[in-house]
Amino acid sequence: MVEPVESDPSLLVVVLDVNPTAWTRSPLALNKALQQIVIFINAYLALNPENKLVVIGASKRNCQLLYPSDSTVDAAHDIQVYEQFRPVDVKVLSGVQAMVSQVTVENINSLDEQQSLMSRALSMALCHIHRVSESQTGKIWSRILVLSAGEDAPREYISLMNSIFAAQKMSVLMDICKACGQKDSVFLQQAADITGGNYLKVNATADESLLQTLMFTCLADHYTRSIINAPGSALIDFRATCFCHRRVIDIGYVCSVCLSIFCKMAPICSTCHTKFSFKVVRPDRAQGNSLATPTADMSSLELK
Amino acid sequence: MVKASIDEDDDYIDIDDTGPEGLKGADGGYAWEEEYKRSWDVIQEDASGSIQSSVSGLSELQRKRRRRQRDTAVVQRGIMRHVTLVIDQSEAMGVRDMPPTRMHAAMGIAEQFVAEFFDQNPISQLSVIGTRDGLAEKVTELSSNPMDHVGALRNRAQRDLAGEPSLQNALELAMHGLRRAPTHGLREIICVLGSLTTCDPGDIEQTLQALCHSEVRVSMVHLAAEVHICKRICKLTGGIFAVAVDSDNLKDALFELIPPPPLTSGHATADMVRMGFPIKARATEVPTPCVCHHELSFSGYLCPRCGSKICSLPTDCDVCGLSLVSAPHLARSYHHLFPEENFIELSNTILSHTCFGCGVEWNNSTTNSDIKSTNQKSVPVALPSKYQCPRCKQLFCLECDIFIHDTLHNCPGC
Repeated sequence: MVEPVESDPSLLVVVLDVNPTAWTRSPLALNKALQQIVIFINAYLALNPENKLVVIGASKRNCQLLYPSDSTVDAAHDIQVYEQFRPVDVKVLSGVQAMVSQVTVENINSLDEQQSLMSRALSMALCHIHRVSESQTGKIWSRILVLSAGEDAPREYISLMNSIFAAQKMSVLMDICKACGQKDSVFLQQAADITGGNYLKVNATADESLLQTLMFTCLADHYTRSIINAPGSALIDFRATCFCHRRVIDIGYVCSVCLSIFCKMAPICSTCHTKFSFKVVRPDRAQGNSLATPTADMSSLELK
Repeated sequence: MVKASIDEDDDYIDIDDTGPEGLKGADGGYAWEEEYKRSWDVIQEDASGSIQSSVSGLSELQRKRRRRQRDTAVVQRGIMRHVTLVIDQSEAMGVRDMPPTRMHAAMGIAEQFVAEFFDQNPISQLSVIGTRDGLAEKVTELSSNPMDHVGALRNRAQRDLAGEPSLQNALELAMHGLRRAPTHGLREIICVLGSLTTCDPGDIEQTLQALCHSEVRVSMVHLAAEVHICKRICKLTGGIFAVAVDSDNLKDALFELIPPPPLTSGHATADMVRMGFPIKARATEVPTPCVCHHELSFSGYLCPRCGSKICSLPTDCDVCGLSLVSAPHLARSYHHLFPEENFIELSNTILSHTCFGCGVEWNNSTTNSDIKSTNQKSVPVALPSKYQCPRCKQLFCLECDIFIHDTLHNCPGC
């Protein structure tokens, strides 16, 4: 297991949720939030000249690579701004503007409108990380910063979990910053916990707090995180919800074919329509698993 | 599902090499009669004297071999598996044809196998058995904790090799251990053997009948040669038999056994398994003992049925016997049930300029006219192929294709 060293470069992938419907409900305006994110990105690039950056924007309908992109934007040389920062800033801001202007909203109040394509953006981010790690000769440590504004999409659960496990396998940290929205995103909380990143909820009544939170917790790279004390996370509930009532359950029944979780025993699985075989349980052979097969050998009951 | 009759035709050994495979080469003669292929002639210079295009073509071919066509049929698979790994520790494993010895190579790959197995099958259980000197002994019990098995394998690797293995004893001991496993799970035995002989106390045919009767699937990887009895056992129980020629081959053959196999009709008993989803116990100031290892620790999980403290998931509660998992463990197996479809290879298409996954531009600038042609067989420098997802019709590069199917299991376009 290779340990990070102070001089190792990093790759940061910023996934911006630019769903305008979600941002309208936030006390922090999208353009102000973007200014703070751009400052954070500049700070990250200034830390190490070899640091790399990728920015991906996600809205309800599509995901787009904002930086590095070959969009022809006039990044005129400004003597007051550090030369490396200007193309990044201009491309990110103009890219977000283009994405927002393409969005057409049918029903602003429907819950669907607030859900962005988070799993697609994370898959693209991981493909980028894989490409950069393969082409880099030295070791590069990657992390993903997700700026989330919308709600969880239940239909994306499986693809989101696949992305999270792939990130864990590649030792990619995922930091989640929930900029607006009342409810915590359960899926993204699990993402931060499984990959070893931070889940931060920003109370955006004051303008400066987003940038302060990002600078203090998300700017640190893999090496520094072993030294600094990150903010503690609340106890995350890893219990499952049953498929029939969407209630959180402690003890449930899992179909062995399709792994659907139910709170009550049923003769047929409602997801894969498999008929279950029920075997008779004899009292003298019960061993804790209530569906013990009657053909179990007597030798399995010997004392250990 | 008892197969009492022996299928004689399949087991007939063709001694004269006059069978359909034989040893004939491509032109009809034997392989040693063909013209000698000079592998260094494949590298050719282009007009400016650079060999970069040939080298990139060769590396492209190598990477294409890594891209495998997977079984993406949506069928019922054995997700909850109970596997026993049998490792041969006889003198034949001391042969140095796999560096440094077969034993070291096999143990190293077995450790990687255990780690990858629990990554892909988190709710399965594994146990390890070693066989040497005509006996079989249990190294670890059935458990879901990869660290236990890896530690035990490392300790085992230090021990001396002795005598001959006993295939029958190992299979009997494995079967005995698997009897406790519930029927809705898939019971498997995976053997890594190096010896061509075995020292058995009785008739191995009876063991084979018992294996078929208990519906245990046996797969074997042999490090030396194809042994008839091993191949027969694997075939009759529905497993896979492979012979590994070197360590990479051994790793590939073992890793083939990691994804959950499709269930045959005899195995398919579906059950509702009662499982508990424990909550994390609050970190206490005073350490408390756990019921699995009887060690003191500050944090852990609480069994929802009996309230006892467990250190790690997934496991079975030692007090009440309830299977304890967390929701992400079940989620790790979802990609086996809903696999990603294989991408279609396209070479000439102008649908997009860049790969949809990683944004790299297609390098369409190399042309075949730059390369000097010679009389020898040459590797044509092909344009980089693009891979298209059949559902969303987006194009991906080779690296993204391999990454999506090996690790990510998600298409970024769908």
